[in-house]
Amino acid sequence: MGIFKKDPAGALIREAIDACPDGICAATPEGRPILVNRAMNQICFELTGHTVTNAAVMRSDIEKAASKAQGGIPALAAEEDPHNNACEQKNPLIVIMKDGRVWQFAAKDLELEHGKVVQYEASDVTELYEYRQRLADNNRRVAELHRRQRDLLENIVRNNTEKELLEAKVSIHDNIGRLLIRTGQALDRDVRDEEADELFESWRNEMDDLVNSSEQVTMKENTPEKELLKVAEMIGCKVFFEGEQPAERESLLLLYAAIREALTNAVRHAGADELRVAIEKSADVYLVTISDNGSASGNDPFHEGGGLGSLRKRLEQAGGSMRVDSSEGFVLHIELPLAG
Amino acid sequence: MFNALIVEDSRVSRESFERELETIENCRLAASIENAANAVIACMKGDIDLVLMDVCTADNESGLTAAAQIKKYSPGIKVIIMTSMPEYSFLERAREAGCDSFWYKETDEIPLAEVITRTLEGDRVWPESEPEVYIGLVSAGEFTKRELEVMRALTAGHRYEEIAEEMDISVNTVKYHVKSILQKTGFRSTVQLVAEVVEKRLILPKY
Repeated sequence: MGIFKKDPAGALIREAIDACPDGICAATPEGRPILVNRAMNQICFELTGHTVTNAAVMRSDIEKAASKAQGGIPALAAEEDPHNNACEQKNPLIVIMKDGRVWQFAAKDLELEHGKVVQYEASDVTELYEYRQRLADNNRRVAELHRRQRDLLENIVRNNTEKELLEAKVSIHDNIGRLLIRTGQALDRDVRDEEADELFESWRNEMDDLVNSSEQVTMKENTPEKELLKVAEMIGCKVFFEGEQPAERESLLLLYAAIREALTNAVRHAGADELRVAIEKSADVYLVTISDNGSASGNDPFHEGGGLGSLRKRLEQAGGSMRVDSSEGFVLHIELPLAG
Repeated sequence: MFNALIVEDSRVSRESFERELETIENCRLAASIENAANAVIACMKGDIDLVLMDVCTADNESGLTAAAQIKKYSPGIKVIIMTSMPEYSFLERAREAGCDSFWYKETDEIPLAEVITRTLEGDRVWPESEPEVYIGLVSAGEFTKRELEVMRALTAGHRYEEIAEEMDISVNTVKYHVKSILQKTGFRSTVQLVAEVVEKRLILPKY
């Protein structure tokens, strides 16, 4: 400070620096202040209870105040700014004052003619900080809306199917209601044979529809085993199962996708006529081993083609995994996620 | 004698196709199944000459994917794609897969039996146009190819950024397409659009 006292130009500079709304402080590396402007003194006073007497102490006080406020405070200078190079601090300190203003502190080492100087700066980033907060909030909201939209899409398809099933059921319900009334009326009086036949026919049709529609309702829960065994038999391959099949629908469908792939490979490339599927349930996964009696030998060149590749992708997307062991024949090891 | 495989997951439709097949003299039913992926296996040994293939089959397996597989290994097997869905991409994808014929279950003017006989004789029977579907104020035919692609990505739940990357265009171009689609249809939001597109089955993202 003293260096400007006798120099009128210095006094002008000093005045200008004091008028600066940002905090400025220059100090020796040990912390002895050379120049502190009004704003910096004020910020320091608000934070620590005294003006800047030692810049190094001020720095550690600010660091403490900033770390108290850490968590949830986005670093404002986090984006790489090509104009700020290495001499500037990587993570600027952010301090929120009691009155809501937000200051960002930065320290810069300067090499001057007569030695090293550390320049401290405090800039008012209140507005920027608020925008940043609002942006973060908005991003969170966008992500949430997007998640809900995805759920909605899933539901549109399901709701449409359910709507159609419901319509079918309502129609059956109405038809049966009408039939009941007609039958009741018919029982109350003598019925002609043709009328009785017609009624009987109507009942039979209605019952057929009922059976069909209830099959449609439960169809999604059918076990895929029966149909797989049927097509395997068509190509002369027997499939043997050991262990309990997954109860989770998704894992069950993945299991059958894997069995189909293994079956296709075994028959097409190794002439197998038997396929073994062993399922073991561990604490958090189903371990499945699929092997065959085909002629694939360890010498055959093996590469993971389209079918196996897409099976691996499907398994990994669902949180499962796949390993091919072609050292002796061809064995497919897969892991399927257990629910939960 | 031709051996036919029926792939259809609705029992009512399956039974009606089986009856239809019975009326064709030189055809017999080898098997009826519900899951298209199993059809690929059933066709491996060369006993099947004809496949009547639904597109949206059991457990979300796509009949078009299965048809492409069957045609890849056994191009001699005749495949007829049957669907009741107006999904715009099905026709094109069936052609790409090398399918022989294509039949719209509910709206086609040619009866299935005729499609089967002609296909077995080596004819290719295709509908002249896709069923007309209205999305908001416009017929689906009025969307451009790019707009349809954007709509497909929207129904799959992708964000503008993801769509831009998938289609190798800028986010602003995606927004431009979306705006144009909304203007054509008169919808106020993409949610409304997607709901309509899926409900009318113009786009079925799973198949």
